[in-house]
Amino acid sequence: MIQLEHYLYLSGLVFTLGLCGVMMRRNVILVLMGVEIMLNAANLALIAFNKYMLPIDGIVEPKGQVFVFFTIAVAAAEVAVALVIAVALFRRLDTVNVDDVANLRW
Amino acid sequence: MLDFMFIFFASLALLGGLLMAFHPNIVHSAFALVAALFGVAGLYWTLGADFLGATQVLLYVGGITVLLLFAVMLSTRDAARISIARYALMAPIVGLLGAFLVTTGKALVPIVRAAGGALGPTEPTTEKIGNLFMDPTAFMLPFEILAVLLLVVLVGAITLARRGEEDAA
Amino acid sequence: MSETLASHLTALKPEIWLTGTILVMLVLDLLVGKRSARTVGVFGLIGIGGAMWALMNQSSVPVRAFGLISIDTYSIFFRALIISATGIVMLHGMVFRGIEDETRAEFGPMLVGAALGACLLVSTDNLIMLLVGMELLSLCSYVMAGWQKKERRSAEAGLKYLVYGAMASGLMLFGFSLLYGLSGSMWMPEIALAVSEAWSLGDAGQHMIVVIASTLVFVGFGFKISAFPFHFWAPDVYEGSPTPVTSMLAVASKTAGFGVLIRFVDTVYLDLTIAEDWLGRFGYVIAVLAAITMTYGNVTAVKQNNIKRLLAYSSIAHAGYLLMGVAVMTTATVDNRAAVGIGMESILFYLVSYYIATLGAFGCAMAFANRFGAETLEDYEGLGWSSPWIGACFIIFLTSLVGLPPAIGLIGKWLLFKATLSVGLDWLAVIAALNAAVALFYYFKIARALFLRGDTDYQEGLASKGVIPGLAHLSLIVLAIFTVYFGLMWDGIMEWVSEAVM
Repeated sequence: MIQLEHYLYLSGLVFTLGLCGVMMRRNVILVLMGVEIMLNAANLALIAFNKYMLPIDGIVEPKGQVFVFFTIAVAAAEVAVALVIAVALFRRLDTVNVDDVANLRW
Repeated sequence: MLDFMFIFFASLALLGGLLMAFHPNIVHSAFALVAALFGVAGLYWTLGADFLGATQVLLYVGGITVLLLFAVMLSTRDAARISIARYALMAPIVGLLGAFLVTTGKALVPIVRAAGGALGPTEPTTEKIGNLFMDPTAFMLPFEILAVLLLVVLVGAITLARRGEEDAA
Repeated sequence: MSETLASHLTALKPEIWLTGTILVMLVLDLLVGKRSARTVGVFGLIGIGGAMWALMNQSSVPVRAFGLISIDTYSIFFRALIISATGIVMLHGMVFRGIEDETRAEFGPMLVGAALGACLLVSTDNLIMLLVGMELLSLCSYVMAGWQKKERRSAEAGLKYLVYGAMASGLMLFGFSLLYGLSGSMWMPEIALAVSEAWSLGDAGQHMIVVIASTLVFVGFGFKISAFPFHFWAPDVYEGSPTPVTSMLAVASKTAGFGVLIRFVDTVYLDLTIAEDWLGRFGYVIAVLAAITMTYGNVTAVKQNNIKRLLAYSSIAHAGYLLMGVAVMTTATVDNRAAVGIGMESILFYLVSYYIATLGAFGCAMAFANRFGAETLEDYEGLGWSSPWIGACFIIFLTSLVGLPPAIGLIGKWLLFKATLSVGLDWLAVIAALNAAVALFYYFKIARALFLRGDTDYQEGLASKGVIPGLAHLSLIVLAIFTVYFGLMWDGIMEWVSEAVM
């Protein structure tokens, strides 16, 4: 029987995987992919909470889902900006290897 | 049926996340991300969030990953190496995970959950979400601000992406 | 229905002015064509002036708009700082030579967009609106940081800011989702109820949830205010961004970050009688972070040679001073509730002094870069004699930043120290005083380079004539006058601040 805790365990695991990707990768694009995974884990937790929420006056408003809608839209804009800046940067550099970007060292 | 769907989509999300985080080839990582995002979309469906599942497929799987793949192709294929020194950073992450997993099951669930343990019947949520977006006392303002955000940010992105005159020569 | 909508919209007049300004600037940019930068900028300034006027006419009676925004004296205070800073940055952006003329017209809408996001961020008490406002501010800042696309440093700054910002917002969002699970609500007062219930009635597991969620949320806020250990983006980004953008990040973005942080702490953790032990420990952690942040910022600033980088580290140090006030708020015990108000007042006052001096200091750095192309301490040698007005203004701003009389910075530091001592955090006050001594050393290095080093002959730089550059210089002189004037008569500011805390 699948219950809320299974979704929460899954969300925690996926979040950790995203965080691993962010922490261990050197490539900016891979770091961004890790961030997307982290956002998805948070979204999954939000929707799971929303589904199991105690109803008030017999209804549960899908507020968690509204929140997720905003996150998805914002993430899309974020990735678009990331792509644009990355392209502008790679055009400036002779190399296309993100590892050569000095300022992006930790 | 729902149990089976959960297991299927959850393993898709987990495997995708795992490959994304650790696969040495950056293109494979990007496709693993597609799989993980699709798995999450499936989980939204099992939770009755039909509208968001569709949004996830359209925007994330269809849009964001294409942009990321685009960026991958513009950058490089072999720079995906993992820095060994950062394994030291893993300790706090794993600690966080452990703390989280142990506590959520015990602590958070009784607060949140109604009497029933299993998934209830699902009904379409698209109309409810739409009503919330158009209700001045609910989420009308952030919805409109989101429109401003997309407008401003896209104008800025286009300005940055445009080649200058001497650049194009 | 339409009547309620109208009343909601009247409460948001300044934001409507800002949105209208964005649209007018974008349309004008298309209509006027190639040489539109000047016209668009002037309309932007008019729009920001309109927003400021609408804000000043807002009544101090608290109202709620759209169920998400609370318009009270607190939010009017923060929005006044943000909008006026945006106006000055806009003016500086019109004259800064680092921005190419062909992209200058599109720079304005970005700036106003960031201001709109910051205004919403400081006025909301709903997590959804908080997220949207914060992302509007952040995304516009990312684009602006990378605006000099021909400069490698600027593009790197934009990318670095974006990657770390996205990471911080991902962590913050996970914290939000936990808070939502805990409370079933996105509204801060209801979250406060759930948090205090979980802490006072719950077991160790529920305590853990509260701690994890709070930590994750504070990562997001800490990133915005560049507090240790989330400061690492600041030096590179401040150095690489175009200078007007740097002042926007250092002033408006940081002010907005503190605005939302204080509201969050005040609503979620202080409104209720949350268990004393938890809040005490929490306040202690913030006090330690404040000490580390200011010490790190000041000690690292000593070694810097690039002026913008030096000011970036100094801005980290000032975030540490401001966090002292947050530590005061959170360590106030039940029988000393007045300390919460005292702490908040001292933060707000310090923000005003920081705002004037930092805006001015980065403005002077921009003026020197414009005229002489000067960026490092060596470049600055002897320049004070070539442009004495800007040089003198710079000295005044530095005086205020270090906290020497007769500048407003002294009053800000004095209030903060007093507040810190009132809750018994004596060690923190001692560290802060030691830090001020270190700060004196590196601020003096700038002053020495300007007036006491190199040849004192007059150097002809790139002079810029015209109304707009004149106004930009005038804005620096006005800020310098404010620094000294309010340093001598701070009653007006004090009154405004205590009204905002109510």
